[in-house]
Formats: sequence, C-alpha cells, structure tokens
Amino acid sequence: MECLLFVAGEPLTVKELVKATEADEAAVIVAVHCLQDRYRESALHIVEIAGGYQMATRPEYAPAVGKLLAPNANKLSKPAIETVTIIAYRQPCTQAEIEAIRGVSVDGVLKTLTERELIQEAGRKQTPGRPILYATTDLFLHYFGLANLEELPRLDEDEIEEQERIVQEMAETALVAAGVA
Amino acid sequence: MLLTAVKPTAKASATTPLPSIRLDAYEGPIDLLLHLVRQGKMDIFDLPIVELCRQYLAYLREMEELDLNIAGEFFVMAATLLEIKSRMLLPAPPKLNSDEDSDSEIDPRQELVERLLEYGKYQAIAESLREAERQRQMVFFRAPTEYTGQFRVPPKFGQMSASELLRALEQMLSSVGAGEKAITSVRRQKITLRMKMREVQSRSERVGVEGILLADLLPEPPFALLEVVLLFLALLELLKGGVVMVAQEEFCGEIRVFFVPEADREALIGESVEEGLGD
Repeated sequence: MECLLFVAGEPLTVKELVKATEADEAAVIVAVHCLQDRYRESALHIVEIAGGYQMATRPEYAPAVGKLLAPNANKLSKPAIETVTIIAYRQPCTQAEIEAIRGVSVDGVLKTLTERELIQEAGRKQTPGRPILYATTDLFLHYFGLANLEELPRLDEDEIEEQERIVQEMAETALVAAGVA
Repeated sequence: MLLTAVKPTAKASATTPLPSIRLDAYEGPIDLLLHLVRQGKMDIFDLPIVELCRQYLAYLREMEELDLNIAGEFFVMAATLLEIKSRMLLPAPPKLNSDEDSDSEIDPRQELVERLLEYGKYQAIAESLREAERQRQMVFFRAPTEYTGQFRVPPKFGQMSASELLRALEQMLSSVGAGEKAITSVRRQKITLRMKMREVQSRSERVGVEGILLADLLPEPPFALLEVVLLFLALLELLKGGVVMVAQEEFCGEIRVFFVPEADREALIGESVEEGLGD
C-alpha cells in the first residue's frame, strides 16, 4: 500500500487500490488507516484528497520546503476565487447565473479557471441558446485540499435560520407599515 | 476591473467629504454596494436607500472625474438604485381591488437585499476557501515520474495525445477492416441508419441491465465498412435521444452499452426541462 501511494504521485482511489492489491474494499480502507497511524511520527503523511489518498509532506515543514523551492506567486485572484466558489456550490451552472450573482462579466475569469483546469464544461443547459454549463474538476478539490464536494465549507445553519427569521419579520413590518399608510 | 488610482486631495466638494475609497478593491457594483453597506454600518434589512444611493452616485462621479472607464454594470446598478429610491418616495398606487394587496406591498428594496445577501454569502465562503488554499499550499506532493522499462504511467482521461488516439483508431480499423467485403459490384445499400438504430436498441434491450459490449455490436465479417460507420452514427443518435447509455469501467477499458427503459428516459428529459424552466 505504502509502495503504491509512493509510486502513484497523485491521489489513488479506493477502487484503484483494490485493483492493485487484489484485496477487498474494507481491507484496503483498514490498511490505509493503519498506514496513516504508522506515519504519525513521519515528516510525511497520507491525506484524503480529491476523492483518493495521496502521500504528502506535513504542513509544519512548509517553511523548510519553501527554502528549497523557487518562489511562485500563483494564487487565485479575488474574482477567480469568488467565481469558482459560486460554481462549486451551484454546479452545473451557466455563465449568466454566475454573472447574476456577481453583477459583473465573468468571461475572462471562466477562461482562466478553465485553463487552470479548476472548472470544466459539463454539457449544455436545455434552454434557448443552449448555454454551456460549468462544473468543478478533481483538480479543484486538490487545489483546495478537499476530499470531496461535501467538504466545502457550509454556512452556519443557525445563521441561515436567523436570516430567514429577519426576512420574515421585515415582511411583516412592511405589511403593518403599509396598513397604517 | 483593475483600477489603481488615488483619490485626488483637492476635491471641490461643498457637502460632506467623500470617504476615501480604494478603487481597485471593487469587483463590481454589488461588491461596491456591499462595501458601502458594511462601511456605513447600514442595516441590510432596512436599507437607507437614499443614503446608499447618494454614496453610490458620489463614488461613480469620483470615478468619472478620475477619467476612468466605468463598466456598464455600474450604471445599470445606479439606475436600479434610483428606481428603487423613486418607488419608495412615491405613494403606493391606489389599490384597484383587494386581490392585489400582496403584490403592492412588496418592498421595492427586497430584490436588491436578496442579491446583496447572496453575494455576501459567496464572498464569505470564498474567504474560507482562500484559507483552504493557503493551508493546502503548505503541503507538498510528489509528481509522478516518467517510468521507463517494463511499465509506464497510463494516460489520464482527456490527456491522450493525438498520436495515441490515431494508433488506437488504426488498431481498431485494422481488426475491423480485415473482414471487409471485397467490392465486386456496386449496389444500392440495403442498410440504413434507422435499421442500425433499431438493431442496437433491441440488442441492448435484450441483454438487460448487464449491458452489451461495444465490441459485440460490431458487425461480423464479411460486412461493408459502411456498417461500422452506421453503427457509430446509430450509437450517437441513440445517446442523444437518451435511449442508451454507455459506460467504461476504467480508462482504456471495455465500453458497455446499456438500454434505458422508456420510463427512466422520460424522467431524465423531464428533469432537464424543469431545470430549464426553473430559471
């Protein structure tokens, strides 16, 4: 198992591990957890990322690794990160839907995100004009260190309820005000 | 928009001085509005529209003075704000009948508030993704090495080079072409696309949930090359209509064709129509 993760150089899915080890799924998952335990003392660890498992360095060694590597400022811009967020939560969605939320054209941003392979086309919407639908890729998950889409941060449920309550109150006040007027 | 500019110090403003604003910080009118709301600590559920409108227009004017190109979206928002403002200033139109009560009582600001809230929500999530990005960049991975010798790294889906695809096609054509009938006379073709579609449909239906291998659908020799072409076209047509589905267990693996029962098919199509109408 350790050997497979070392060789792959990319996230290995449970399915791929099952195929290579000829063990069943449950055994593979147990083995991965064992391996994660064994790595506890190591500078490396096994992370669950982009739908699979991958060997990675521990974050506490980032400064040292950084000294070895050349600096590269390649963070996503604010528009890019906002756009990819909207796509991640509403996928598949069209350019027009994103623009309705952001209030600006996202033409160039979509192109950049596609070039960086963080998003991809996911068919066409069955509406007039058949606009392109966009969805996030596995690389998107990898870029943000997410195991799957369910790991995306959520808005606090209480917060949503609170907002709904306020909206409700606002509507009621408006009704009362209109009645008085 | 990426504007970098400094607010001019000598501003001929007789009224209140404008808040100093960094122009490059705004991604669009919604972003700007949200900023104004937060900066002025305005209640988003009871927007002081007059004040917001004044600040927004002042900001636009400032941009104009700096001779910046203002994106059209900013003007659209200005018009929207003015419209909301005037609707709030004017008395509500007299009610024609009691049925319209609920309609006339909708707060004109509601749509704007909803947009601001939704955008704010995504902005907050984008912030936490920014943190995730930072965390993730603290971790390093090995890239796969190009292995030589007995094994090599298999090509990734969508990353097959043109030459590899050509080789695969040649391989397929050479095995298929081996059984091709020698052309001795030219006759009217007895096979049509419709026939082929019917054949694929009935054969995949017969095998049921297991699905049929694409290789098994290939005509048996001797055959005309046209049959292979028609098979391919028939598959595309059926796929488009949602009559069949194809699946591949693994990259470069066997391709299976599955029949989709009519009930499921309609459900699928119905879904996409609904999606379309939902907008």
